[in-house]
Amino acid sequence: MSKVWIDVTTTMNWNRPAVGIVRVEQELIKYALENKSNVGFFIYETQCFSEIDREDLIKKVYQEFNQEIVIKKTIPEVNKQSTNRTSFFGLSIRRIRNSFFFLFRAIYEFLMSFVNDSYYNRINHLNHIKYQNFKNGVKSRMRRVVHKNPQQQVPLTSNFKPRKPQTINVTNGDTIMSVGLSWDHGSKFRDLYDLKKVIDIKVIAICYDLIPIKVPNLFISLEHSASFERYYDGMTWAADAVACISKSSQNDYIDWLTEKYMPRPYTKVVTLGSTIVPYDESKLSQTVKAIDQKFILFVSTIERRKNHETIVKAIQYLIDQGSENIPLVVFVGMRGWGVGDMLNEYEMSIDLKDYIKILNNLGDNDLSYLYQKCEFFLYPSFYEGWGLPVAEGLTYGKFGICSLSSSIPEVGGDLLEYVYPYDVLGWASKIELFMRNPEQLRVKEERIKSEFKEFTWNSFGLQMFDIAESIANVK
Amino acid sequence: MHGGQIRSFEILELYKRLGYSTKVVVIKPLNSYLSDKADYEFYVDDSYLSNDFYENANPYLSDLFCKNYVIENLERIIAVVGSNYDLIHCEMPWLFDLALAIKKVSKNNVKIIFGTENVESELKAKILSNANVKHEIVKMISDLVQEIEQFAVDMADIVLTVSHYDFNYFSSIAKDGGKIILAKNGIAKDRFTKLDYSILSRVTDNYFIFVGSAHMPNVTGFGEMFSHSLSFLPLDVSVVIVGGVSTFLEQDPRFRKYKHLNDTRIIRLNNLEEAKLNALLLNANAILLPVVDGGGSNLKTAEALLSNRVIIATRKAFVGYESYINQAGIYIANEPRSFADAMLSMINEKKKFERKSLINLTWSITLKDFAERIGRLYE
Repeated sequence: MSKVWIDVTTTMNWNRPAVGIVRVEQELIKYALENKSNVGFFIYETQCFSEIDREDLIKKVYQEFNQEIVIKKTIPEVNKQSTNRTSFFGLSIRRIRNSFFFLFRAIYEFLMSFVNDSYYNRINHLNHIKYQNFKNGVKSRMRRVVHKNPQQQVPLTSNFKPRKPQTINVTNGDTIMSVGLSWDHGSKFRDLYDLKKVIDIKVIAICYDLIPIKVPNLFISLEHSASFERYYDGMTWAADAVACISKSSQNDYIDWLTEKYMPRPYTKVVTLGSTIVPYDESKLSQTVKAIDQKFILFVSTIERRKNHETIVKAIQYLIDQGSENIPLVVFVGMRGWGVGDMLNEYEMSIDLKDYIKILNNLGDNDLSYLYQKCEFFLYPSFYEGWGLPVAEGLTYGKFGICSLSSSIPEVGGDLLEYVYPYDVLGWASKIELFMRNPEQLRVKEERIKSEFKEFTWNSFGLQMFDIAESIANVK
Repeated sequence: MHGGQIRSFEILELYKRLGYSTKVVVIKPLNSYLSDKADYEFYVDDSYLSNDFYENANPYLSDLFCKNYVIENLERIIAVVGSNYDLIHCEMPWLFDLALAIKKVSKNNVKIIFGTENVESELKAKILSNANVKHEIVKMISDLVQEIEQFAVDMADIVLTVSHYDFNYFSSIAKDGGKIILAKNGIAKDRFTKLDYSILSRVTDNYFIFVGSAHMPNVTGFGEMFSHSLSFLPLDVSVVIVGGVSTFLEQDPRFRKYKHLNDTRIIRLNNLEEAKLNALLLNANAILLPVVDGGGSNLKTAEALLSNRVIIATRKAFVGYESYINQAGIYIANEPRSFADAMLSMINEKKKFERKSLINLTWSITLKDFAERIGRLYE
């Protein structure tokens, strides 16, 4: 029976509370653990795909960040009885046999890698992968990329501790799913492309956005943009299907493929979930408790693309106009790139600091409080692949003023108000309007409560596995 | 050697076969092509090689600057090379002043052969326009080159051209059309006898090959045909680029825009001996001839035809070889999309064809009329 392998490289290398794309991967992992039986998990490290033990993964995803294992009972268990029946003696036989096999294979590959390249390529099915191993030195030559033996059961031990990863037993008909920060993982998709030459597998990747390619002026540097485009090149050639997190991203991706005359894998729009957490008043930070007036909220990394500058200018405009309806604007987010001048202006301003507060390092509890207590939220970003904070705001039942740009209108439809991201006066006008007319705000919120359909992570997981089913039998 | 050098060499060998003893005079900037066939070499000082007036056109005017050097050093050069010649072959118009000066001081009835390789005025205008040189400067230089070519056509006894287009052009500006001769580029009959397949270990199993010198039209042709980048090719298919052009691709802004993608599909092999180049040509999925500029006739086209392998080319690459276009294994594509489609259709195939009339491609046939005309030069 075909297996789905989920790439958990991002999760296993992440040591902070999950945000953004890391959150997406973890939610997919949780969905798989709780709903699917024939699923495996692996990490990628320089031409090596290694299986991750289920127990290690559960610990990472649920326990490490103090998350309760909510549905532990539905987590499929490996047949402990059969494993126990093999007992210590049986385990040893298998391990000794495997060890000899691996040792022999490693020595064989090491010796053969010194043979003339073209001859070596002709005598080995995994020619390209092994050629790359040869180039990477002795250590790589000793390492296996793919385990050719029939699928074996990974036994559990009674003491839970991280185990040394084993190479994954991918076989014909299996599917590989990768939704993490793959552009940081070297030549992973190139290796998957090569793997597909020798094994009939399907690969599903995800397209979050093409921002570094489409609007490089809003990205860190041209070098990063180039690197990102190279990543999409490799990903496209390896993928049988690409899940796009919005119609806007899908359109951007297809336009990019068309422009490059590249083949088009199967694409489908999937919707990311959003998570809301009830807040515990007793655990609120002092910073948040100190906010004792009406405020509006903008949650995002403080970087050039997110367009905090327009809001700062809009507030400055309202101040200069002597408006009586200027709210406190709370920015929540880490400092990113390209905002030095704006923050300098803010720091040096006489009056802005009375109206704009910048917070970071807030936990879920504080964030939940702010979302629920704000008058409304803002999202003036120049360009997005989806707009997770917009979805979160709506999930909390809150109204927002958002950018009329890219995917953002897809999130809230006509439940929200939209302003062109560069229109400072437009933003000022809308902010003042809704501060001056709280009853309009209530009407908006009522509509959101009755009409907004929450995006769930469960639905996201279902959509991803639907894609796997759709492409499973496509030749 | 690049195409122009090969042509010059073949013409030199023809003169020898006709009984002439020969001397080769080369005048060039310091960092240009090696010329191991030269009897006299003069290096143009850097002070001649730029002029602020021409702004960003300077890198493309070394030939004009060499002309200026010759004019200012005529006596010194003649003192070295001498003037006891019966025939002077001047390849391209830049050094024609030297040929004329030698004729004037010589006691012999010197005949001058003007060997053209392009309509230089048109080619120069195109190169400078592609390099975003100001229109006024482009026009000024183009007009100047046109005058230089006109002068050479008027003063020469025979004008050699490489293509029908060039033949028609120079016939139209010559007072005596009878002195214009068509002598297309050819190839050696035994071109592919030397083979060294060890080079194949440095390339992917499936690859396309593009061979070209560091001549601007080669760079712009590649840039134009692949202005969308090379990422339409699968990850394990490459374009092997051989010759001087491999180090100059970045001069085209279209290539530069997608250099980060292009470099993942390109294998650059700069100076390659003939046996290895032959092996690459004979094992390629297709030979690429993305010629969009240049006039002249493309020596690489002749080589590609003789290889009997699939050729994917622009119509312009077959100027002078129109009679071969409808033969098997030749795909003509003049737009980036159709060029890419033709390549994709050959991704997993390596085909060989038996082409007809290849004897007409050899130098002995293409220079035949010229050889006869030389024989009648003193009648």
